[in-house]
Amino acid sequence: MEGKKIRVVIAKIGPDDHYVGMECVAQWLREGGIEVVYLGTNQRVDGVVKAVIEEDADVLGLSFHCRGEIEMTNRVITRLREENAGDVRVIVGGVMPHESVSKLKEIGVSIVFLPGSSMTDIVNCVKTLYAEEKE
Amino acid sequence: MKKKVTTGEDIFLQQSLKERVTNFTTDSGIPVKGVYKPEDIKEMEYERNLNDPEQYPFTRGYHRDMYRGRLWSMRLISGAETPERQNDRFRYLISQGGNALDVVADASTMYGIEPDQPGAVPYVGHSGCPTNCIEDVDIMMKGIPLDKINICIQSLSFPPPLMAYILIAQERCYDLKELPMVAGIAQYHCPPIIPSLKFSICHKGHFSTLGRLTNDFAEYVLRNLPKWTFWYMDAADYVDAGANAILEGALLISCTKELIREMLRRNIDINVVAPRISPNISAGRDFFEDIAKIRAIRRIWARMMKEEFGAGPKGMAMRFYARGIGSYMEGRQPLVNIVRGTLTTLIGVLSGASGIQTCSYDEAWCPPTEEAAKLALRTQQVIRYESGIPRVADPLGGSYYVEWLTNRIEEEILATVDRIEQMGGWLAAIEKDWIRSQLRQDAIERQRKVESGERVRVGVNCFAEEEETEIRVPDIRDEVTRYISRYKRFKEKRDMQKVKKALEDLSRAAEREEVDLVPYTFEAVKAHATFAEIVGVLRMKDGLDYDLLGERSYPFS
Repeated sequence: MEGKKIRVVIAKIGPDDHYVGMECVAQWLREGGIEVVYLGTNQRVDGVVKAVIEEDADVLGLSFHCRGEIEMTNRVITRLREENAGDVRVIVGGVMPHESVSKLKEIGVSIVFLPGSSMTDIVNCVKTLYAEEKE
Repeated sequence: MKKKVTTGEDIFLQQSLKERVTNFTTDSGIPVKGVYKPEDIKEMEYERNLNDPEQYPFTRGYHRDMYRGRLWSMRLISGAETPERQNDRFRYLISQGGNALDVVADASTMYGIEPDQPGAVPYVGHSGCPTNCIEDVDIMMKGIPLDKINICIQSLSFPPPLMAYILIAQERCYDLKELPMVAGIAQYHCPPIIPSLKFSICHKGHFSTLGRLTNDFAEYVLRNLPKWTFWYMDAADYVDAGANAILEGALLISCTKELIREMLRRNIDINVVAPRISPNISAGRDFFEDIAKIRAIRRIWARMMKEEFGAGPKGMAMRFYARGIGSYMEGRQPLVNIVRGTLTTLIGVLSGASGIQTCSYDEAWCPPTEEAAKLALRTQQVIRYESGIPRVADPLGGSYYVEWLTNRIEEEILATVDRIEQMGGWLAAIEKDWIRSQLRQDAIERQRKVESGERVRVGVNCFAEEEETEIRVPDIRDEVTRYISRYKRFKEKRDMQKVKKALEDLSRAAEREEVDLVPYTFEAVKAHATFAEIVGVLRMKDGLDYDLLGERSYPFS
């Protein structure tokens, strides 16, 4: 992993513009030395998958506020696998009930961040995730 | 002699007893002294700067009697998963003493998309009530006395839900001239905080076709529905998106100028429009700063309406409702939010709000559950009926600190308003992305303070607990499935020739700039066009895809 920066794609899919948390995460990741490809809000599943592949991302971060976290994440992970990009780690954050955490992990999400998560923790988790993958 | 053992708890207690205030700036960064004295406000003159309530410059309130004349309306937001459940919630709130009904729409409504399309289905009913066709509004309002209660439908900038409400009221034989409503109309504030919805107001630096409909509808309401108040600006949304008190105040004033100018361009008298518009303002970030901010905005508003627009006293008196900031409610240790809700309610009362919305304690997790909504209402009722606080108007008026801070914030707001004016005004500031970049900067700055612990969040970055209290978010899937089936049936039952004709007429009307879009939109709603179909047709006029999500195309091409 020497020399190569971790690359993270960040996006919000569907009708939901609660972007503040996602922008803060992007900022903290950048300050933590991580390369961020920020797609922003109103993204579509195919567009996100395409960006992950084209940008050769290590991690995909999806943000949710108005729900849809299980269905949309499932659609993205399925598409990533179809495109032979199933090794990309997916992290999810935002407003959702606690029970969504285990459901998201079942469908292949590595980490879930609920409201009140610290930015510093998120950066550290992404770095640890990447380090584990390289081992 | 036994030596006393010092435990970790002892050390904590010793430190706690020696604690002192260490932060000497307000939330927006204004440095404050430890005490304020007469010399800090020596330039002030009572008549010029303060004056009595209902007297220019209205710093102390909009009415001479304030709460002795009329107490504030208790605006409790709700957003049930279906119109049927929303109707239950309305009835419940009325039965518990609520006197104002606010319904926030879900993502399908707010984005003008069909609730049964694939990209919308996972979001339907989760963040508010789906309100997508006239039948939804009819069901939601079943048995509600529309002339006796103050209703607010928050559908952002799309007029069709409100137009459906008018048609239903007419069908139920209400006199439109007597119908009270706080309606979300001409919400020019949306684009910077909801970038995907920019099309609902502007396109390439001008009003979009949907923006034109929203303006036409605003004009219709001003001319035909004398008891409707425009809730045209959710300034608290800016605070949720990061803004501090100064930026919030400046955005509120600049956005108001744009709305007034547009209505004047339409030959509406300033004394018709100014008294009818009412923004909301946030409460909750910083107790005294919020109160000072509201007083400062009231003074700026009065001077702007008088000097710039020539309004009479009714237009100079700003009425507003105070809204608790959703993002101020924490996900961790959620019951602590009841205390935060109390503080925000107090800010509203001490500032003379004509309506107050208290966030429910489960705000960080889901739209208010019944129990949480009841506690938010009870919070207001304790302050309203038990505390004695509402007895006197502007009770903090004359405080050296509050008056100094009001003056200071007023100066700062005016300087930012000037900047926006020099940029070319509200629409130009949106087009240049200036507002969003300011919000982003403020949001990151605020989060930095939370991370460092400089901005204390009890239960989050201090006094945190390992074990988290879980909020039970209701499982609404079955209800939503039933809703979507009903919605599909509504569409199947329609006379498609009528729908087609109404949408084509609307589309043709939109081609001619001088044509009022309101009658054509009413016809479309009457013909049972869905709200998404109306939005889609008007999007196409600006060269945009029919469907925001790119999943559907215009059904009649």
